Amino acid sequence: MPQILLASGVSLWLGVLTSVSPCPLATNIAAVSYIGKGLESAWRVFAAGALYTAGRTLTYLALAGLVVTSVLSIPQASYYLQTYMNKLLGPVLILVGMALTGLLNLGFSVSVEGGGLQRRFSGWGLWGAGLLGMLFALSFCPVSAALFFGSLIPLALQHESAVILPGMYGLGTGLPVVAFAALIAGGARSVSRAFERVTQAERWARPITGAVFIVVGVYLSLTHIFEVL
Amino acid sequence: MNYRAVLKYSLLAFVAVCAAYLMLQRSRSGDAAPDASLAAGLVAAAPAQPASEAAIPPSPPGQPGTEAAPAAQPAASRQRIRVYYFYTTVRCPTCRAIEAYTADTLRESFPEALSDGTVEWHPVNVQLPQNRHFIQDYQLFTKSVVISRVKDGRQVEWKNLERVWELAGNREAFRNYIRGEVRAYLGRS
Repeated sequence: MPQILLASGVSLWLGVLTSVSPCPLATNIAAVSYIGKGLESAWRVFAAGALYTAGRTLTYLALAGLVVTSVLSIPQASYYLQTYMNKLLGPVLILVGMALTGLLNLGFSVSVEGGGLQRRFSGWGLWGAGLLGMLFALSFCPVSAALFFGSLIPLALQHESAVILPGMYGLGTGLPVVAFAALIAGGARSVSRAFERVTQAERWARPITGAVFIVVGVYLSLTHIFEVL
Repeated sequence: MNYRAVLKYSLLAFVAVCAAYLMLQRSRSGDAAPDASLAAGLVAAAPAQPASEAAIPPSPPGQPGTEAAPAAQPAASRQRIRVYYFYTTVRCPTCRAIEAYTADTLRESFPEALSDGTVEWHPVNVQLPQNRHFIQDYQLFTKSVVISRVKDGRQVEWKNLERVWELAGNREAFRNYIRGEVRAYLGRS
């Protein structure tokens, strides 16, 4: 039992290391801005952060399950995700950013309540954080691939733990982002309260998040698709 | 047309160009069925030939499936240590540092072995179709440094130096690690 506790601690730490390494910085900035945009209440920031972490954890659990049960080989999964997910992520983030800023307003949306894509994204606020967590967890970079496939998976195999250890790793990758988002949201709320501009700050939070998504999306596209940065 | 419309259509055009460029990339690389060999779960025997990439010593590229043995190279019966750095087309700062530290260590610590071909340095882009087999051959999951011992034209052992990522932030520790591993391989017979 103490061994699995120790391994859980190591897995959590591997997740934290993954999150604070420089290569996922661009996606972390997008995640922080998305989680922290719920300025109106601390509860929303907490819930968005919890869902973002849950989304990441689910992805790692699924991946670890597929690798541990030999459905996927480690090289196959790792190189496929590093090559293709990073290429797809840029355009996807640009489109999501456009929807968040209201630049993309699809009138032909088949939303049951009759709203457009923009309204759907408003409704998605919290669930969108979970989807974002899943998407970002799939976009492996060299460091995260080394830590997940090279350190966590062997540890999970050694302890025959396809659930607890990948789960702790997912928790570790989400925690720093959520903590940072909570700090930023708290700070922004305090500043806007001091200037009695909370409503205005909330009005700006979503377009700013959208703009961050667009900038990160363009950056990732230039880096991974056009290879110019 | 207001600035929002200009921004909207510019971004949509950018996304469309991204999609077109991705499709062009795939068709150019003949990648219609990406990683087909990986999907089939093929695990080839470890390679005996170096990759056709730049190397520090004047070691010529090998032909696929054959062992390069030109006059400048040691006799086939001699042992050779190959140090590979496997990377992909998109490079990150840490990946470049790992490559540079490894190359520097070999240059500074094994100059004679590099010049007589006992030690070879091979940076290999595994995203190129002809090098993709290395991913399965060495079970690679990220940019990696692999050391391989070749005797009588056959690879007898290899090792993925997985600690390179852990030590990439400490140049001296990194160099000691590479130096120690190469020396250990050189000392075996």
